[in-house]
Amino acid sequence: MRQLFRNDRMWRAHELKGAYDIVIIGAGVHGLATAYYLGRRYGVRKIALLDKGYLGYGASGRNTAILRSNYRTPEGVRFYNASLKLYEELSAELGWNLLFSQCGHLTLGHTDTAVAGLRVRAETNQLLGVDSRIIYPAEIQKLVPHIDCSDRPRYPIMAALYHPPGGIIRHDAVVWGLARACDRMGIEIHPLTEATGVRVARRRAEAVLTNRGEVAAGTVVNATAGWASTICKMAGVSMPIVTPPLQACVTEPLKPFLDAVIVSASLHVYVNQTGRGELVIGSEIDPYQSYSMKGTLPTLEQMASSALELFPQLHNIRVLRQWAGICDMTPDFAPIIGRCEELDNFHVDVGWGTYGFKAAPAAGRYLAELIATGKVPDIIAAFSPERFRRRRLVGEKAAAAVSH
Amino acid sequence: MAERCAQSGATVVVERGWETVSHYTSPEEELEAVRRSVGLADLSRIPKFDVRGGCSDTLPELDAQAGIWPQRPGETLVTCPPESAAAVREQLDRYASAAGEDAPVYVSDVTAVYTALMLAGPESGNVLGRLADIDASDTALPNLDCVQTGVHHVHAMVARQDLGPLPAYLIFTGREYGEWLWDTVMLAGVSCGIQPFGSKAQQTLEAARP
Amino acid sequence: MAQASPSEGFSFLLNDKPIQAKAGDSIGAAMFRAGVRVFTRSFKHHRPRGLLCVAGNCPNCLMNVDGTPNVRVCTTPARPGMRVAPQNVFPSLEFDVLAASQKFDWLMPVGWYYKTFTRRPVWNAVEPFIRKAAGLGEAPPSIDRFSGEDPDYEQRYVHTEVAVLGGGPSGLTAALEASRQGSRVTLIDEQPQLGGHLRFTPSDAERRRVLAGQVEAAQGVEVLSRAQCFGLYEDGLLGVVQLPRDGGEESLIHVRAERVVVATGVIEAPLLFENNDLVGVMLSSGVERLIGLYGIVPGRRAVIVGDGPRAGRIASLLKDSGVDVAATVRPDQVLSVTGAAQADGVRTAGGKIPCDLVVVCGHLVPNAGLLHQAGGSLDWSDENGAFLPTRLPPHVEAAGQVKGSDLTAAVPSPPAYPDSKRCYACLCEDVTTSDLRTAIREGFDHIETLKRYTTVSMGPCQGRMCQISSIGVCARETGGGMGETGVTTSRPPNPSISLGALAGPRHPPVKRSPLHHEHEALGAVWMNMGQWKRPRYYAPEPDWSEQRIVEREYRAVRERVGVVDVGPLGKIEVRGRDSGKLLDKVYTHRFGSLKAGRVRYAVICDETGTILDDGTISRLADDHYFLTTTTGNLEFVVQWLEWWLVETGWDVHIADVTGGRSSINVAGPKAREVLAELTDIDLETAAFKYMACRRGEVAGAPAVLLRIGFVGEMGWEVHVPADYGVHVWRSVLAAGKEHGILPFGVETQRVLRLEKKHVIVGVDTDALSNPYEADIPWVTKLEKQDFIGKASLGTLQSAAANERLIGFTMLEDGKVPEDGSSVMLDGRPAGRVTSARYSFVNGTAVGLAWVSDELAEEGREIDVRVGGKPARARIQQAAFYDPEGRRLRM
Repeated sequence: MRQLFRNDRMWRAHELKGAYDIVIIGAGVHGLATAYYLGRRYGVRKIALLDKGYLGYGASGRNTAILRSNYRTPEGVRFYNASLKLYEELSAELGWNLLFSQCGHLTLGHTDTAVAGLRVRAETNQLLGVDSRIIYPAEIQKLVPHIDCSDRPRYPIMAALYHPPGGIIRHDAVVWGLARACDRMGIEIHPLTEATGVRVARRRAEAVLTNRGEVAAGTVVNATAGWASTICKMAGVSMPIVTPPLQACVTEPLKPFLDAVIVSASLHVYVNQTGRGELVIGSEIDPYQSYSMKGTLPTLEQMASSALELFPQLHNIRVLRQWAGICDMTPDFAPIIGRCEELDNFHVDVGWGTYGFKAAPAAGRYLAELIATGKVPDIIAAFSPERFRRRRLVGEKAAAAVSH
Repeated sequence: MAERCAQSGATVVVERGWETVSHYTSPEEELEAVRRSVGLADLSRIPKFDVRGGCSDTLPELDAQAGIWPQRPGETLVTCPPESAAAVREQLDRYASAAGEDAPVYVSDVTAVYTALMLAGPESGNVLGRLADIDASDTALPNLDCVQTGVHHVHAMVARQDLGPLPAYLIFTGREYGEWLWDTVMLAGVSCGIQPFGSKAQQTLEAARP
Repeated sequence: MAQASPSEGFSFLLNDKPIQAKAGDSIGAAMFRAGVRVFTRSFKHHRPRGLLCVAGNCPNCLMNVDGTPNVRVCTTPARPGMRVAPQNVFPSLEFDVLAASQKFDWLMPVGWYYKTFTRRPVWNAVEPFIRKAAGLGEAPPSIDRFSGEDPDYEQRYVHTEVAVLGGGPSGLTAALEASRQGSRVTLIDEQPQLGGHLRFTPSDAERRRVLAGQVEAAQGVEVLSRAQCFGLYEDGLLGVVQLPRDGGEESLIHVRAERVVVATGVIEAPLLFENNDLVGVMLSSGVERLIGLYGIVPGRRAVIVGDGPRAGRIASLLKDSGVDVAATVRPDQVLSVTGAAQADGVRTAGGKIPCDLVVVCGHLVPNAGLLHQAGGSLDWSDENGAFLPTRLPPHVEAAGQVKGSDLTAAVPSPPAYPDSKRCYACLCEDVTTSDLRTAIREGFDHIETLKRYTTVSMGPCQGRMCQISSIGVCARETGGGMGETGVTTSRPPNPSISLGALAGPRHPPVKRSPLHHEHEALGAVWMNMGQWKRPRYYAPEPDWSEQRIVEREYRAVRERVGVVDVGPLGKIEVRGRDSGKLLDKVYTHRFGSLKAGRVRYAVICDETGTILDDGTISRLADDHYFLTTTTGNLEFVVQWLEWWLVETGWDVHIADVTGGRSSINVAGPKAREVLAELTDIDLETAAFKYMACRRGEVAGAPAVLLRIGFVGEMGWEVHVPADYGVHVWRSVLAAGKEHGILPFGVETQRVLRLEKKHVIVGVDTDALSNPYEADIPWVTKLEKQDFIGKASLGTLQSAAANERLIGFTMLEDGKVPEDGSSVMLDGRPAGRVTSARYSFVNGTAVGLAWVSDELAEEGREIDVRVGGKPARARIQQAAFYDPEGRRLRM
């Protein structure tokens, strides 16, 4: 209670020093989580987090804050379940309420093939102890009284993958809570500090060049999501990553009526209602590469159209804002975490595509372990940078058309 | 489409082996509606030829009634009234066989591949403006010009072929979209008072072509 | 419903009580005239709020109208019989028990929710209660209470040379100028009549009349009235939302313009002092609108907060309207407004001045959001007291007040303000200056983080009322100037637009086979396959089970003859001398050497060796191939072929003819006899081998026949021009009648092909499957010179497989796994079933599954999950039916 009336600074500004043990490029949820677990579990404190924008400027503040662990592959399920469990405890750990609402997550199937794809996930989830099952229109209607389960839509709902522990969280709160915790441990956060180059010598990334000067680093971490491949390029590392935009929009606030997160891959849309009552409507990634973070009209129209297929009675609800984030997509829609083959001290935590936000605590926790111990934890072994050379891809792509 | 017409109570006749709607209400009423506002006719039966290769951008003199619609370099769609089908085909075949070894020309009959609807009347540009992102003004799409576009993301080609003083457009999509396209254009035309018209009214209107 | 001619008065209902309205009234104006002062309760503190801007900008008049929530009643035209109700109040506007929350707001400082209930069980318990308090408008009716009638939303596309945004004097002048230069002009004006602010300034009436008249008479000027541009997108695309002239739904207009003139003027925003939100506090432009547009006198005794000519002008307007102007007070002299719910005076250092109306000459904020969106910058100007647009992209220009013309600061910036819990910076979200200060001290000192933490400017006003104030507070607290603090990103749509208008007419595309109505007449049960409608099967009686129907159709094919419509298969004609070269490059097998008259199974892989599509390729002539593709991949295959053709200079022409062919597959031991009745082509195997093709006539129609066997029986795929489709279909059914022919659907076809272990790309393969793992290694010809995927396939051929596609038969009767079920090993997932069906020939279910490489061993027993429990199955790599393929070659 006392905390309610304490107005301590969340994080402090620092002069940029000449050297740190670890320099993390990108102070979004991934960079922050890595720093947080490095500090908390391994006592590493001489860490600098660099970000070119304000805190939470990139994908951390642009995603739609959906959490879930009902993935398709065993590797994916294990990893995201670990992440979900970390999220569940994070509010208490940080002393900062992340407003995590486990309201349930429904992925709709409108065709036989889609339903079979959902069943693959349900079955794998169940065998790995994740609460997830196929439900049919009668039960969907009971859970979501406002959704149209009739035959009226062009593609009627046939079934859904129901994942009760999934839900939404306040994404900015995660950034701020982690930043505060890092700051309390003496880890430095440097917003508005843009990495402009990486000095490489003797198979090492020796220093990061920034608009505020050069910073020598024992270890460098690239956690820059949409800009991942550009930062890697500075270090002479190539990544099989493309960067398309992903768009979303938000409506005026309405009295709460939608308690679950609704995703439809066939309609390329997902819908949920935030704690403030706004509806957040998101779309599939745009079919082109771009670093633009401006929304486009055709995508806005498509989002509206798809949302009305599911909720026709929302037709006179008004959209207030649309925006875009950019996504670092890999060929198999699975992330790349680990030390790069080319450089001995350059780590990546990239390739998160459209589901980086929900992965942040686990990615940070296990990347921290890798950095601190030098050993690759089992749970992220499948996501290693060298898998592309070895052709050991992870099969998330098949489940990932719209899988937020 | 014939099924759809039967449901709407149209009078169907057989012309040159094709089931054709003669009229939906009465030819007079339909003519009046087209001249006053806008009408829609199913012209899917008009002969269509796909001419590829060679320098088919510069086709030979064809039958006067033929419509020549360049699609992209080396690809042209040719339409004509049913009665000149044989003549036009022959002209095209002659053109193909005269083409050089190094730039061969291929002609195929694609009559069945495309649905063609005719939107005609003073309000037709207005209806078009509710369907597709095209500039249907006289300067951007003059008579006998055509443009590629999309209707609800379905690829379509719009060709302008006025009926004398009356503006008229042919809308082409894949045949599989035929019924859907008909319904979509009718829906878009509601506020302009769109009226379907049959071959009787169409023939009268076409007589106005120079 | 009472109908009234526009010249007379009429009435509508507020909370079931009639309100009298005059022609031309907005809902809000009529309510105000009828004595209504409280229009809404605020979002968080449930404070009473009344008319403020009368321009549709602020959140103070959001009400429910005829079931639509969040309607800005101050600008929405009143219509006879409409029903208006307040929202977010309990039980009523006048008395709202939740207003008590104000008493506890000390418990809810900014960001309070982040700082409390951090323990999970506590949060889970309180979250539902907090959630209930959220939201503003009514929730939409649940689906069973929704009438389901699709409202009519129209969309339009307008192409123009010059788009002018704003119908005020600058906009009108710009439109006239462009028209004089001979341009096509589209003038987009928010108001029902041209003139902008000239409309409600009586002294400007003549100027308005002249300008508007000139524009209406000008050549090539189209006026879109009641329309607003909500987004300036790339490529000169403008999103415009237009209200209808008479009821109905708003519509979306896409305007494409070569040049855009933004003349959107200014928006007046409130000043900061204590109780600046009380009912009775109005913006000067709101007062001008009430008087000028509706002839309403907004109060009896007014205090004007402001100075200079603006204050003088409003004072004389009020006096002319019979309002007693008690005083004009400079903004920095106002201590607070007094009053419980309604303003009853203004407190200054010199004491309280009683009044019932406080007129605020607020900030004049350039309405420059669109210019910001278009890529322009907004730079602070102290002189104008505003952020002014600069560095505009070449096709966009600004005109009039939006670029600072005649603009003077209302107060010096950054402005002074009290640190008060009753000084509202943001009316939508009830964010006070005290909240902003606290947040900035906590470290949220970047304008973007300040916005996200306090939610200032995230409400329905989209920042119109609060952006300038919040920047001012941030600038003053951080000591950085206004310019350095900067504005937040401007995002479309602004103003807001309804989902219905964005979605437009609800008429999604449907692809129909030429045989669609034949199937309908035969009792087809439909399924969606992409945009296609396909018969799943044909129900002879409504009460038959799926199993019974499928078995009936299945037995017809296996024992006699069946016919299926395969019209939705993609069909492509490839012509030209170099066609073989292109197909050899794109497909994994050889096609340049395929003999004319032969057919070959064909697979496309990408550069990584992943299967993208499959189908058949028939060589009809030396320079003429006929390709089929899977239904869903047609567009992709056409584009892929075109892509690889670019810049080769080859003589190849690719034409998608899918819709132009009616295609059926006649299959079964009697297929030859049925077709022989309809064609002269010699169908005997000696003349027409398996995997051969011929051209000829079928039932008098020009046809291409392919002898292929997807369902595992002797059969021919018959392609005829679509217009002959119905005739040929009926002829086949008639000829087959004596042989007991039945039409069969997709579900039956799936059982038939599964027994043959024929793979469906996209069902049995996924985005990572390659031909080796999918057990079709013979489709690749690695010795071929070069083709897409060759390098990767070369590596894959010798590499260990990750997993393999296997066939299996269930060992227990009655256990049919559903598609997608798991294959298990020691209770852990070890694979997945892609397709499984009861096999009538096998007596138990059979299926295809991906399993890990070490499991993929002929004859090995595996566990497949059925209904959540493991059931035994055996791996069988040979087809379950006619493994030697004798029946195909009969």
